Amino acid sequence: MSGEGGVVTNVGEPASVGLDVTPEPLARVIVAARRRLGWLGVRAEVARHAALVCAAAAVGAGARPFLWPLAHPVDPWRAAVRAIVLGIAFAGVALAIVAVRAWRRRPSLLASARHLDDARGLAEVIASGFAFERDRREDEMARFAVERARAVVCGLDVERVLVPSPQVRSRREIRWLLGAGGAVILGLAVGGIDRVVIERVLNPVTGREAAAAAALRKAAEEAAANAPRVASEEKKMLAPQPPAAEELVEAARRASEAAQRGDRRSALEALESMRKAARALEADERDQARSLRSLRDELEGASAAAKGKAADDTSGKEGAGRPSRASATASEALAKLKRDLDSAGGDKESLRKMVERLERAEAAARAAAEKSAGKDASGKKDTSGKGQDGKGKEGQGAREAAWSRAAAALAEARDAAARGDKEAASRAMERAEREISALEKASRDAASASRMARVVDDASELDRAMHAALKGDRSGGGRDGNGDGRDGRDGDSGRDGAGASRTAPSDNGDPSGAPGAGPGAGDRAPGPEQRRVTVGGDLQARADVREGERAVSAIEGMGRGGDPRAFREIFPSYDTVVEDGLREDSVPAARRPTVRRYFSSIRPGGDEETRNRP
Amino acid sequence: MTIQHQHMNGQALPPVTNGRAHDGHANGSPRAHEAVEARMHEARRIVFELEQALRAMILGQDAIVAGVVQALVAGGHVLLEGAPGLGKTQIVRTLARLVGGSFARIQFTPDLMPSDVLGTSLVVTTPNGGKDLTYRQGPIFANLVLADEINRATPKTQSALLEAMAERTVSVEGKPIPLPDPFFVLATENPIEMEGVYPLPEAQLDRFLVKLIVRMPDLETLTLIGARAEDPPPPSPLSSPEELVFARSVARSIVAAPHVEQYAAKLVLATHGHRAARYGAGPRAMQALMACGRARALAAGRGVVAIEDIAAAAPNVLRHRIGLRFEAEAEGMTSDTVVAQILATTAVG
Repeated sequence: MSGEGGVVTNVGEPASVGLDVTPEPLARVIVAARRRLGWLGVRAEVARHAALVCAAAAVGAGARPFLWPLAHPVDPWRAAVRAIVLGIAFAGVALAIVAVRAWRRRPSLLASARHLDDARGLAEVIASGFAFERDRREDEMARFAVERARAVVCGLDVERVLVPSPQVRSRREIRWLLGAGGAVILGLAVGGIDRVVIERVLNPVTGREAAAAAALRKAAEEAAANAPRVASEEKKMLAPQPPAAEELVEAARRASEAAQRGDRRSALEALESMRKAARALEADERDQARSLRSLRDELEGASAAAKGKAADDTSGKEGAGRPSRASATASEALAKLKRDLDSAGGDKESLRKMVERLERAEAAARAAAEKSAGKDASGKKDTSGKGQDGKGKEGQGAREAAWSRAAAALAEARDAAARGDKEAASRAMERAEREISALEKASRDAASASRMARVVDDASELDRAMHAALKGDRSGGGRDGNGDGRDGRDGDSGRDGAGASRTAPSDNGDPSGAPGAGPGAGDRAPGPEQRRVTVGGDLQARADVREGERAVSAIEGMGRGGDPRAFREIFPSYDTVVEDGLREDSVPAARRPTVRRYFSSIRPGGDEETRNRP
Repeated sequence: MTIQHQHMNGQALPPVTNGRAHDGHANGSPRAHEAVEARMHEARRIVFELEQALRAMILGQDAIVAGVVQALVAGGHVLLEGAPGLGKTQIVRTLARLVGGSFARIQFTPDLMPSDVLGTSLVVTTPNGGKDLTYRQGPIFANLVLADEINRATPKTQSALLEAMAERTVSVEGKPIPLPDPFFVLATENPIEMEGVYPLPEAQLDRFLVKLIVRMPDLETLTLIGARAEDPPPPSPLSSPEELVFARSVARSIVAAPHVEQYAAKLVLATHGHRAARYGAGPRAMQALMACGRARALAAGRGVVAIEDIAAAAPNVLRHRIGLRFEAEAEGMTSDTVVAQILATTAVG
């Protein structure tokens, strides 16, 4: 009897029955069998460790917030995608480890031969034949065994003979697998549901927030569109602090996007960045103006008179206690000096005075250059904080170069004048004039603070809208008068309306002056009443004050262990008023940083709130 | 040698679950392989017929019958242990008739002397009236020797069998006299009676290729035995001693792959490392394992020894070669338990 695949099943049959195929070397078949067994082993191991792979996927997905956190501008849905990607990656790694381990443990060639024997129901026929073939045994019985083994494997389809055994899972394994599946779902939930998503579910974006965010976005785009265009790279380098302005616009865009997305934390952070940028821009403009004034004074020879009134210079108030002068700008003063030099005769005394003025002007220009470089004239480090980032440094470098060129030209003019070479002095002074004119023009073009005022105002509105939403105010609408129109800010925030004036005096906490009557207060829905509260002087703060409550008492209560929530609720309005006040020059420039630091220190937020109570 | 397809009682040889060399040999001569197959077939026929005839006579002891036949083919001696009346003696008597050689039965008793086994020299009168010493052969000079209740004899008499079983010679007056070929000793012992018996020493036990435990037949077999009105007639010889020698030579030619030999060696070594073993099996056990494996492979019609042959032979080969510690015996362990544990823990390759 002859079995399938050329396998003879009875030794009593004649030797020539049905065996007309060429035998193939055992080793080749057994290597194929080993490879096949290796894959089957990998499959079996993967199936056996499915729970482990699932657990790895769960860990990967669940660890998404730590391993691959969302950047602020990123959409929240990406959290789920990233969790899935991380889960797949972790599962892949676990799978690879299990597979490699199983592959490395695949049976040896001899064991593979024995597996083939088992699969064919044979007892050591293939394995013994393979062993004898491998050992090159030449005795008769060994050769006989090898031939028998070759006959068995002749035409043997390893893929069909070696089939995976059916997977039978115990109850314990099934329980583990179900648990791992649950863990995967949990991991995906942990990794895929982002903070922003939760916040959006708990506190959906209100209509007021959306409107404020849209307005902020529009203002930012307008500010970016109205930014001065500089044609040449050289002029571009002279732009005063464009990075700060760009930062401000960019932060406004980020805040708008985050607010529309419902990511209030990111929006608030972006707003804070925006405020910082605005402050940096403002400070830079002041520094630049101060340097130009100083240069002008030196060129006019008024420094001696102005020295005693340096405080006036630093206060930013022009003209106070300063002697009257003919020139309004440094370039004009330099032009006048050039004319004086050209018209000067042989009067050595007047020439000496002109040389001295040029020398002092050069020192002032050098000081401005050093200051632009981040250090003041005395070589101390500038602690103003401006120009700390890369873009700021770039702008500072351009301005420093301009000031340095001006200083060099002034030095050359001074030397030429000292030599009596009026022509050379005149040429040098022309060069210096060009540099200074460029700096003045750049300073005029900047006017960034005013250009950005609209953006900052809209940011304040967004800030208020978000805080109102966090308080649980779900009402929509807002500044355009289509929403709740809660306090007349509809008109007020339009700036062109007839809303309640910021400077309008009112009683301390008197609610009578609170609601504005601007034209935007059209469709007002009933909502929490926001009232204007006099903080002090001519500044007012707006806060949601209910019947019988006073904003002032909320602040006073902080010092006596009052409810911190009231303070947290009222603070945004104060913050806005502070920013408005600082921008409108109601506070002396020298005092503005102090005022800002103070309000920053009492800004509500975690433990700091407790530490920095007023 | 003629290949027959039909054998005694019309029973055919069972199919062999292994391959066979085909015509297109890459190495060696096809004719040589055909001759090998023919020899194997003939040897297997002898073994198969012997086994079938014994099974027909001895009901319910198939494993014992197979073990005895395999030991016979392997050329070793058998120690049968079992309670009285289980058919031990019947197995040997039937086997003696089937093989067709000379048969001797020695009933071992405490007063049995070595000369009663080996033979003795007698003073005889020569034809010319003189006196001479003539050696008269004892019952050991037979192809099949039944040493019934061997543990009843004194150690002195038991040890008289040592040389005969190991060397297959008997020394008489300093001269070795060869025993007939084939020479096959089948000893029986009764494990129940503990008084008046002399347990076989380890050296004597080691001479036995296998020790078979004859157990009580089951209900069905007992019913069949009871249904027999009388004992079946003695069978006629199926083979000759020469055929038995031929089968032995074929069995000895069967080869084992290195990993199979290594497995057998591992089993033997494992008997020494087992915590329950006071002493383990020696190299003779290794030879016995391989011999039994070859005989079993021949019975299965295979040209190579398989792992399963070694594993199947291991209990019979090792059980009387393992001495148990007192603690293990107190725990109820037997040498069979030890062998089973060794088989379960020893890996192939």
